[in-house]
Amino acid sequence: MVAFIGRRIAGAIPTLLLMSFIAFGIVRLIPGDPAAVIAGPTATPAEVERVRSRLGLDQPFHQQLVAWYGNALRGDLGNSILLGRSVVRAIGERLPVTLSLAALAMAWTALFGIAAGVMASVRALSWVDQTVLAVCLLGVSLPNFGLALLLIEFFGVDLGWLPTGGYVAFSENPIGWARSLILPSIALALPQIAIVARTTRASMLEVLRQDYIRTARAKGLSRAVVIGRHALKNAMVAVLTVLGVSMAILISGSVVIESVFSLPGLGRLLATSILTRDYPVIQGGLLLVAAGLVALNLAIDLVYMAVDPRLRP
Amino acid sequence: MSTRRKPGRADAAHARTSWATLRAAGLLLAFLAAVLGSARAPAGGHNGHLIFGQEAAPLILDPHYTTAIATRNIAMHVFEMLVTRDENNAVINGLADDRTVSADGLVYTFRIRTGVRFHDGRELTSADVLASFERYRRLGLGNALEPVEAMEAPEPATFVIRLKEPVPLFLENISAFTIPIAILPADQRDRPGGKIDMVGTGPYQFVEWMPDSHVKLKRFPDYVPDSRYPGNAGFGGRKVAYLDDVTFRFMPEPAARIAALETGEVQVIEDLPLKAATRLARDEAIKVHMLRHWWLHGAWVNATKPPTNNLLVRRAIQTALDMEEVMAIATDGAYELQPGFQYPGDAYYVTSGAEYYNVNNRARAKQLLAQAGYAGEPLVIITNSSFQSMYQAAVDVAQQLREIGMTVRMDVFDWATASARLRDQGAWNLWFTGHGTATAVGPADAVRNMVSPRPNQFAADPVLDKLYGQLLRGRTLEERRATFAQIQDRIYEQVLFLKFGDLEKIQASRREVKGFAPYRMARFWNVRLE
Repeated sequence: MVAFIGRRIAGAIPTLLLMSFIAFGIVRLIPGDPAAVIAGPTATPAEVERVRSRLGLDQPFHQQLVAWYGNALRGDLGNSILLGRSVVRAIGERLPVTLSLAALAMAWTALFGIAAGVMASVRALSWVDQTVLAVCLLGVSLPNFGLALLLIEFFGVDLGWLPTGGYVAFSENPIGWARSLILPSIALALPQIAIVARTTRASMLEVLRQDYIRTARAKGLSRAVVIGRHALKNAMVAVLTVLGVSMAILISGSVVIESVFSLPGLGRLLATSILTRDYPVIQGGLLLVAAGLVALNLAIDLVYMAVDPRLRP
Repeated sequence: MSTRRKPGRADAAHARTSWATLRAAGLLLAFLAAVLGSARAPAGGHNGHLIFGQEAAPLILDPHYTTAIATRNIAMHVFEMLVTRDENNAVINGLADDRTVSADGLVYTFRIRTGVRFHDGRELTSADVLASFERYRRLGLGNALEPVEAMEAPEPATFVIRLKEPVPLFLENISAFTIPIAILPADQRDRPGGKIDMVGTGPYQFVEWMPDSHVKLKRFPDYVPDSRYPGNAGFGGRKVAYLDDVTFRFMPEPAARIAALETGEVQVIEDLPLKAATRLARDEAIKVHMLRHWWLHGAWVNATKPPTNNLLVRRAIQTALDMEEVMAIATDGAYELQPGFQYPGDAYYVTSGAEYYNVNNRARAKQLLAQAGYAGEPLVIITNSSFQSMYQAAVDVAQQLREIGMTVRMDVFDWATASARLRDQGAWNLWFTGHGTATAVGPADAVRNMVSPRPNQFAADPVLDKLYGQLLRGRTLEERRATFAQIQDRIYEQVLFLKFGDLEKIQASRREVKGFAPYRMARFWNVRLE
C-alpha cells in the first residue's frame, strides 16, 4: 500500500511540473498586465512602463521562469503583485474558507444525495421516485447563482434566520462559522446532490436486481440490512467516482458562491488575480489546485480499495 | 404453534443501527437549533459600530500606489492631505494651516498645522510631509510633482516646494484625489508601493484587513478636528469620529448588499441599481442617497484608423447617436444628459460644443456618411465585460450605427485586456470608457489624455495642444475657464471623444445612520448611529 501511494505521488510530479509551466506561460500570453491595472486606464504609456519596470515585468520570459521555479522549489511562490503579501500567505488566508465551504457542501452532497438516491431506488417508479427525479432535474437546471439569491432573500431577509453573507472564522465563533456557511454550502451543493442522487439511484437499481440480494431477502434479512449492508456497499463504487468529481467541482467552482455571499475564499482570489493579471497568485493558485486534485484522486482511490477489496494492490 | 421467529444477530444489529440513527438525528436537530436559534452576532448598528457594504475589495491600501476608489474609500479615513478639495471641488487647506505662493509662481510655502498626531502618537512635522511627497514622486504613479525642482522642510512647521516653472494649476494638481498625496510618517519614505504601515493622521485608525472580506477601522481618540471648518468639506473639513469603529465589508453582489441592508447586517451600502433604490425608497427603515455626476460615460475615437480617420465619418457618428437611448440602456435610468466635460456647479463647468451633443439626427448622419464616401469599412468597437454600463452602452451604440448603414464589429474583453488594447492603434475605432475621478478632479485631468505626447485618439491636434498649454498657464480662474470652453468646443468639433452622459451613484443607509452625506468617497466622519 505504501509503495502504491509512493508510486502515485511520484507519478504526479511530472503532471504538476507541466501544469505549472502551462500556467506560467498562458497568463503571459493574455493581453494586459498588472502594471496597466495598477496604473489605471487613464495612465499614459510612460507611467505604465514605469510601473512595469518597477515590478520586474520587463525582464525576459526565461529569466522570470527560472526565478519562479527556483523559488518554488524552496516553497516560495513569490509575492502577489497587487496584494503586497506572499502568495503562500494570500492563499493560506483563504484556503480555510474554501475548504470549509467545500467540506460542508460535500457533506450535504453525500448525505442528501445518497439518501435521496437510495429512497428513489427502493421505491422505484413510485411518487417518491418521481419526486426525487423532479428535484434532481431542478437541481441541475437551476443556476446556483440564482438559487443563492433566492436563499438569501428567503432565509436571510424574509425569515431572518441566517446571515445574508460574510464569513466568521471557526476560531472566532464556531456557531457563527456554521451560520455563515449554511446558505452558501446549500447553494453550492444542490447541483451535486442532484447528480449524486441520480447516480446512486441508478447504481442501486442495478445492484438490487442481483441474485445475491434476492438470496439475502430469502434468508430473512430485514429490508434495512439488505439495503444498507449489501446493496449500498456494492453500489458505492460508482457513487464514489461521482463524489470525487463533485468534490473537485465544489472546490474549483466556488467562485460564484463566494462572490454572492462575500466569502473571502480561494475562488475569488483566483478570479480576481486572473482579471488583474496578478501572475504570481495565478501560478501559485493553479499549482495548489492541481496538487489538491491529485491528492483528492489518490484519496478516492484509497477509499475504493477500502470499499472493494478486489481493487487492493 | 407459534410462527414468531427468535431474534437473531441481524435484528440486534438492526436495533443498534436504529438507535445510532436516532442519536445522530437528535444531534443534528440540536445543532440546527443552535445555529438557527443563536442570536445574530452583533453586526453593527449599535454602540457606534457601523458596517459599510462596499462593492469592490481593494487590492492594496496604499493611497500613493493606486487609483482605485475601493482603496480611497478606506485610506482617506486613515490618512489626510496637505491640501485637498471641498464639496465643490475647490482647493482647501487640510494639514496645511496656511499657504502662500511667491509672486513669480515658483515657490509654494506651507505652514503645517501643529498638534496633529499620527496614530502611533508621533507629532506631525514638515519632515513627514517632505518624506510623503518624496515617496509619491519616487513611485511615479501620479505626475503632479513633475514640475517640482526641489522640496524642503526648513523648520518643523514649514514645507517649501520650488517649481521649475510656474504652474498655475499646481495646487489643483497636488490636491487631486485621483492618486492622493496622503501624508505618511517620515519612516515610510523608502517603502515600496503597496507596502506601507497604515499609520496616518485621520480620524480613524487601522485595525485589520482581511483581503476579500473586510477592513476594520476604529476611532482615533487623539484626533483633533479641524476647527477652521463648520463641518464636512469634501475630503477635508471638520471631521468628528462619532463611531467606535467602521467595518468596510466587501460585497460584490448587489442583491446581497441590498439584502444585508434590509436585514440590518450593514448600515450603509453603495452602488445599488435604480430599480432597487426605487423599492427601498418606500421602506421607512432605509434612506436612499443619489450622488449626481458620479461618472462621465463615453468613448475614445481613433482619429487615425479608417473609417474614423475621416472627420466626416466621425461627425456622422456623433450626429446619429441618441444619447438618451444610450444612457437609458446603459444605466437603467440613473443618468443625466449634459454636454460638459466638467459637472454643473464645478468652477470650470462650460457648455461649449453643446450643438454637437445628442443631435440624434439619423438622416443628417447618413448624408455625412455619403459625403465622406463611406464604403462599408468595418467600425471596430472595443468594450469590456467588467463594467456593465460600458458593455450595454456599446451594444446600443453599435445598433444605432448599424441603423445608419455602418458595418460595426464589437470586441468585448475583460477590463485588463481592453486596457491593453487601448494602446494598440490598429485595434479599434471606438473604445468605451468612463471617467469618474479624472473629470471630478478638474479640467486639466479631464482632457489630459487627448493631448500630446500620446493622445488616446492617436492623432495630435495642434490646436488642442496649444489650448491645453494655455489652460495650464492661465493665471486666473476666468482665463482658464475661457480656455477650457475653447478646449471643449474643439473636442466636440473634431469629435475626439464621444460623450454619452453622466452616471449617478446611488447609495443607501438605514434610518438610524445620521449625518451621512454622499460624496466622491463614502465618508464616516460626522456620522453617528441613533
